[in-house]
Amino acid sequence: MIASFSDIFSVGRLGTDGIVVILVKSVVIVLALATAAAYLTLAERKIAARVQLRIGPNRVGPMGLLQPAADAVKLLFKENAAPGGRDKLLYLAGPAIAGGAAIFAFAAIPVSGLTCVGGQTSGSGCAGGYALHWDLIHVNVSLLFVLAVTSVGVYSLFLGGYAANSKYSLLGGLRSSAQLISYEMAVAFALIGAVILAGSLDLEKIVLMQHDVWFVVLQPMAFLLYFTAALAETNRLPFDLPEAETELVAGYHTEYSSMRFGFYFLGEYINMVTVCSIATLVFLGGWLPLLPFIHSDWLGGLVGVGWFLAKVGALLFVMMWLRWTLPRFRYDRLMSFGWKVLLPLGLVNIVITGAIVGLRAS
Amino acid sequence: MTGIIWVAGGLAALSALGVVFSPQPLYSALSLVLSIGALAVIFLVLNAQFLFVVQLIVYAGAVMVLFVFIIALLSPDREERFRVDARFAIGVTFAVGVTVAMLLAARNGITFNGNGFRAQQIGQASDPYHGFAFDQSDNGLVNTAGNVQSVGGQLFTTFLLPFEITSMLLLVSAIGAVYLTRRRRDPNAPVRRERALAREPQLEEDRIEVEVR
Amino acid sequence: MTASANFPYLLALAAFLFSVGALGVLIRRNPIVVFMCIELMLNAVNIVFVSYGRFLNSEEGQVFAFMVIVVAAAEVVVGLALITQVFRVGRELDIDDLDELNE
Repeated sequence: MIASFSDIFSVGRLGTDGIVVILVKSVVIVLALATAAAYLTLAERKIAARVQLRIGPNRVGPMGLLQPAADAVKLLFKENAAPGGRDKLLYLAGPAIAGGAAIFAFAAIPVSGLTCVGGQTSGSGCAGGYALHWDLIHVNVSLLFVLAVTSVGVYSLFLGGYAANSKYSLLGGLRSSAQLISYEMAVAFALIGAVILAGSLDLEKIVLMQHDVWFVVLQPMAFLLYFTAALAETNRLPFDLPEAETELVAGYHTEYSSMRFGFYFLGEYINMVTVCSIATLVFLGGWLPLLPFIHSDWLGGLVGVGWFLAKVGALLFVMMWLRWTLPRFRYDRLMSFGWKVLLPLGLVNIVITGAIVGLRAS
Repeated sequence: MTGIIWVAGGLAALSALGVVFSPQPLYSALSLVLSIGALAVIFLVLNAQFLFVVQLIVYAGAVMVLFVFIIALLSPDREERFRVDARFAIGVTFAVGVTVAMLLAARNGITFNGNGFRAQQIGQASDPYHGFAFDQSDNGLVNTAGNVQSVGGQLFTTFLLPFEITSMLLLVSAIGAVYLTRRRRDPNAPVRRERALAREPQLEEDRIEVEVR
Repeated sequence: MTASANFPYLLALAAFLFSVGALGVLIRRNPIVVFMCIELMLNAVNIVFVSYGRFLNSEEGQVFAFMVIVVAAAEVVVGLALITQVFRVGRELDIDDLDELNE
């Protein structure tokens, strides 16, 4: 059965990996993302504290490093308060989709290049060794795959707002769904510039095309547009309208508590990681090092992961830094900014890039 | 992989029943989302990666969100009972009949294979002349067929005119939707108008202040 | 069982989805749900396009399925706008009662 996996459909690594490898990779992805989300909350609080000349959490563990564990325990053991008159099934579906879509989207992200364990790299293959791919699902449109799965995450916000039977939740849910749909356009338009240069929608190929020069150099405007739109996609300040505390209490997750709220929280932070990973892969050269480095063996693959994580971490830091630097947009300004500024600029960028690439080809 | 087709197909069929038979419109819409997702998986298995993504982004991510919005805003919690009448009977008979006929045909291997419809024995399906063996070589057209490159190539060469016409259609429908849903000012509502006029200078002032900065 | 043997079953699935969608159009009264049933029928057609394209080794089936998706999106936009207008006029959303033009 497993042998017949790969022959018909090149759906993905599902075909070439054995079931054990798939399971191991899945577990690693889930655990790593959950841990990353937990420690991002700590990082967020520490950075907020520094910006505001405070110290931040420092009681649990050395330098407050065990704070996320304490938070997790608190979330788990809190009372599961739920509003009356809620739609029971959809009320549970909201957080489940939020967490699930966020984790699933990460499955198609390659965190490092192809590594040959005990063999020689030959072209795009691996002779006489085990070819270790650093992603779980491989589709030849993996960039669009990630966007598609994230776009399904809209339902979690809407359902959370609708099912809770509360007007703050409903308003927050409607706002955030509209915001996400609008800014998805801006995200896609910003990425197309880089896709034209790479000539592929495969994240691995896009990274390998940046061997000589990162796309952030060739596409600085696209990078800025993407990063701005990505802030809105992940509901970060200055675009955190869905949960504008002063207007909407907490937006779509007002009526959630305990671990159900935890899932929304988890999904939000994992989405941050995903968005920064895409920015790293498409614009910052992914796992490619700043200095040339051989990466055909084990060590090279691991070093690639290191570079990747460092770049993602830097982008995440910028996101948190911006949160405490910029004020919040007004809702109508937010929408007109997305449609009237980001989208036209993205179009201009596509036209210019396309023209240059076309002229150079002819 | 064939297992995936069966699971996704079953899910699509079940959720299609959900679309038709759930009394609440919102549940219908969410069943349709599920059905669309399952069909997207089938597209992926059939090597139509581009359509898989379009299905998820356009259908599940945009069109159905629009549906869900409208349902939440227009008719929340409205339940609907079916009238069991002649239409119901005709519809059910039609659906059951077509499905059973197609399943029987599939079971007995009656399908169109380029030489017309013909019945064939089960087990002959891999026969290259009568059967439906897909080209399994990696260099075949099939494997490039799902690529964005080849579909895009077709769209921009052979099917350029239909492509442009559909883009015009999209533009026209967008303008039409804006026209239809725009709020008409009622000239017989003086109070509202005054309020709107009173607000305008405020907005103007607001804008100038921002620009000066 | 090879994937090729699944091909007729995919056609059967498409027929099922199409007829269930048609059934929904017949028996449901909420125009929004009727719209969704039409979407279901369009999706059924898309399966046929894609699986025949796979079977005949051509990407034209996918191109047509793509066109169907675009046209469906356009149709939904205008249709939902119309439904909101009907609702704004203050009518009950029942597709059998919207027959003024008949008289």
